[in-house]
Amino acid sequence: MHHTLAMIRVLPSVPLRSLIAGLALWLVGAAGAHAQTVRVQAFVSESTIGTEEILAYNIQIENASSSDVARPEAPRTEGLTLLQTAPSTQMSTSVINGQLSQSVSFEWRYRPSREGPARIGETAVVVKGQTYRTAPIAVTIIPQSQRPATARRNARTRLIDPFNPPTTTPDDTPPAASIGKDDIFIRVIPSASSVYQSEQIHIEYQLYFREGMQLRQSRLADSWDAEGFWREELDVERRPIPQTVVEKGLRYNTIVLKRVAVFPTRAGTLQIDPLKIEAEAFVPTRSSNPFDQFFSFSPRYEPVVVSSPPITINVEPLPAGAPESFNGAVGTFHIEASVDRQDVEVGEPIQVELRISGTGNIATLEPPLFTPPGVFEQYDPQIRTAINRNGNRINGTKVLTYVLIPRSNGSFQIPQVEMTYFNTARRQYERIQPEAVTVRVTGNASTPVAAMTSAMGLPVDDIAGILPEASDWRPLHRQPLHRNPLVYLALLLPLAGLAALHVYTARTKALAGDERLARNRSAHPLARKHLHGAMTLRSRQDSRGFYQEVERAVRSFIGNRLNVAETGLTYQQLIQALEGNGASPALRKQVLDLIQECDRVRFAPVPPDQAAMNTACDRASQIIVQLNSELTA
Amino acid sequence: MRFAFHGMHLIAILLVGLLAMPGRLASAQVSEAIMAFDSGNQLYRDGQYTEAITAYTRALDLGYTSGVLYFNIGNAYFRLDELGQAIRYYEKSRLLMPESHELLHSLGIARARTVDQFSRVPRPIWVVYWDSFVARTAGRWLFWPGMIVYALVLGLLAFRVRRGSRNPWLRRLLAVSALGALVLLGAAFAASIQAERRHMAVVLAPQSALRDAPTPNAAVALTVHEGLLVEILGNAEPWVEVRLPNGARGWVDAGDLADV
Repeated sequence: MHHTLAMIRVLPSVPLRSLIAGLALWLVGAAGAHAQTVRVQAFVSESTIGTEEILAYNIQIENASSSDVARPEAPRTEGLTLLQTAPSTQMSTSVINGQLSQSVSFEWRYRPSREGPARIGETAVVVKGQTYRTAPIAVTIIPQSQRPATARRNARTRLIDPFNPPTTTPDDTPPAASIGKDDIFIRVIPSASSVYQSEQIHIEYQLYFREGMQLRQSRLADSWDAEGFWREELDVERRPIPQTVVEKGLRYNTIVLKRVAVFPTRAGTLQIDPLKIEAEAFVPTRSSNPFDQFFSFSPRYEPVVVSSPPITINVEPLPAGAPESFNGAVGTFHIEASVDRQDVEVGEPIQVELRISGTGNIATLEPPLFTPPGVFEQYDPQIRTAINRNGNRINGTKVLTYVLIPRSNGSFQIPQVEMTYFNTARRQYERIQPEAVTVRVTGNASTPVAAMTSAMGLPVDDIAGILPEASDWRPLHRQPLHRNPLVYLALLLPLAGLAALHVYTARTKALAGDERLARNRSAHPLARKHLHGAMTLRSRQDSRGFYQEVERAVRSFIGNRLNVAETGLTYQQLIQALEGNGASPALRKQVLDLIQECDRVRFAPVPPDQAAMNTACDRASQIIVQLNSELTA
Repeated sequence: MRFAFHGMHLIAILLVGLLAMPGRLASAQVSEAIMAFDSGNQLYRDGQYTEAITAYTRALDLGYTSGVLYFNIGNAYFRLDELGQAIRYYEKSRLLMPESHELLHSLGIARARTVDQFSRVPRPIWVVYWDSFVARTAGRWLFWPGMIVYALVLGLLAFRVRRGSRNPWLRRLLAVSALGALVLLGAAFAASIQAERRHMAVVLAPQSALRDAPTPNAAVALTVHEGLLVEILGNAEPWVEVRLPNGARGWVDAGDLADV
């Protein structure tokens, strides 16, 4: 807080009482006065004056005591005449936030010498051996007739007769005329004129009014609006202490009327309405006449309407390619997560807090998509938003509190959540993720609550539990049916078998229909079989068996070939059969000889010699070959 | 009569061989796979889902599978919040046990969590049944009845050949059974070929761009998200052509998908 403790006027006419009081306070506060930096400012009482008015030119040295400052020389002027060479000196002491500060000021007075532009040159001020230079100031001098009445009234009378209180004149001039547009105005300071959509813009409305002017009953004239913007009011001092600034050579008091952060909700060129205030203003006499100050007539307030210029903001859309997790946040953000406990039983709730803090559109941003693992039952989050309106930018914290109830045990990483915001400083999307915490759920998944299961006993909003038994085991890679060669074999082989069966059946049927053919075909092999048997018996020295086989060979061949029962045939019948079927007489004799020899040897007491047996076998073979060619049947 | 008996004998031996061949499981390895499955179940109940998946995968590595095994793997992935993998294994399971209530319920829950909710192109009911049949049996269940009818045809033919019978009833029975065998075996082969050609995949990447052409600069028709089941139509490394459930076609990066 700012407390003006004293103001001392070091002038010959200053009352002694206030001088003493001021000195005492000055002494008290002197100790800390040198800490701050020296600031030298030059300003005039009016930037436009009439030809009959007096111009006061001030040089104020802040944070310096009178002992530090050498009295400066009056500046060079153009179009102005100095009234007195010695400036009036003024010292003031104040305590701001417990810090004592002092200032010294010098004032010269000028009278215009001609109409038109006038100029006060730069002044060099030496403070503690250091030279500070003030900026030159331009002043416009106009005919006195163009000046408002009050100004005119104050001008000459005071100059001519400073001890005479000015006589009141009829108030015939419009009241607003005495207050110029330079006397009071609103300056609007946007932090940027070209922004991205949803980017924060800070706008400050400062009311400038001439030092000494008093305002009362000030109020907002129209409702201030900013179409196309989301607005967040920032705090301003409820009882503002005016700050003194020099603007274009004039001293002004300024207060902050309004501070607001706006967030464009669409792209394009957007307009922000002017801020308009109505107030009653009082301009005191700018006189150093003590009588004016002590015996001043009742102040006359005049209604004033002040309006700020409108401002235009150019809004660019956000660049394309926003990631999926972009939730509209523009600014700079930070996300944190915490879980109220990390070890829980199945069915016990846990609270997960997502804390999104940062500078930007914290109030409007959507909560990031948070899907906990499937075992958790999730309830809608509780959202708290805290916005700090003290600083130059809206910053704050959004806290989302989720209640999760685990329905199954396990250990889980919570929360798996991601958020993307557009970083206006770096002009890019940035992805942020809170550090996940491991939550261990212990205990057994109790049987689901009745209300939570469907008619089939399955949980309503969760997957079914695992199945404990698998009965349908099968090889992972099965050969497809159409690639299995055995399949084709199984299909084709029976067909081939059927075909073979068909051929075979046809042939057996043919054989069954003609017995002669069958016997004929078997005659030769049978004879060979008997002969073979005979050779075996010969090697065993069984001469009887040998001859019996030889006879059988011949007889069976004939029997089969001629289709007669061969075993019961007498020699005579045999020969007749041969004769009837075209055998030659020589062959018939050979057959008869061989058979008779065989019969004879079989019943002879002495076994035949080896040579006879060899010839018998050869003869039998020859006979069969010959019979085969000669027999017609 | 003796020869006919031999022919039948041969067919019987072949059928027995066919029956035994595909279904035969080496019992020692199966029991090992079942042990891995059981330990996976235990780990799942303890909430150690990652370890449970490792155990289940061991059963698969042994060369055996089951619809229940795939279902449990899908559950474990769901608990780990890997939606794409969960749906992938549920779909694998659905091929083997399409009627399981638990499976259909869980698959529905998982699907409800996916971003993409495409409408499905309606299909005639018989196509639905046929596809389900193909997916489940790959034609095997038609092959065996077909073989039995085929054996009947062969038997009738053999009887006819041996006896030379010209009985008109025998001829009619032969015609009907031959037609039946042809239909059954033909369908079995068609199903087997269709099962081999069928390629489905699930999007595993959180999101993937569906492009008009297999080039990185091609226009992005739309973005598909984790868990979407697509049909693979073609392949042009590293792109695959897919058909979405709503019938839309496009190309996606092969790395974003995993087969079912």
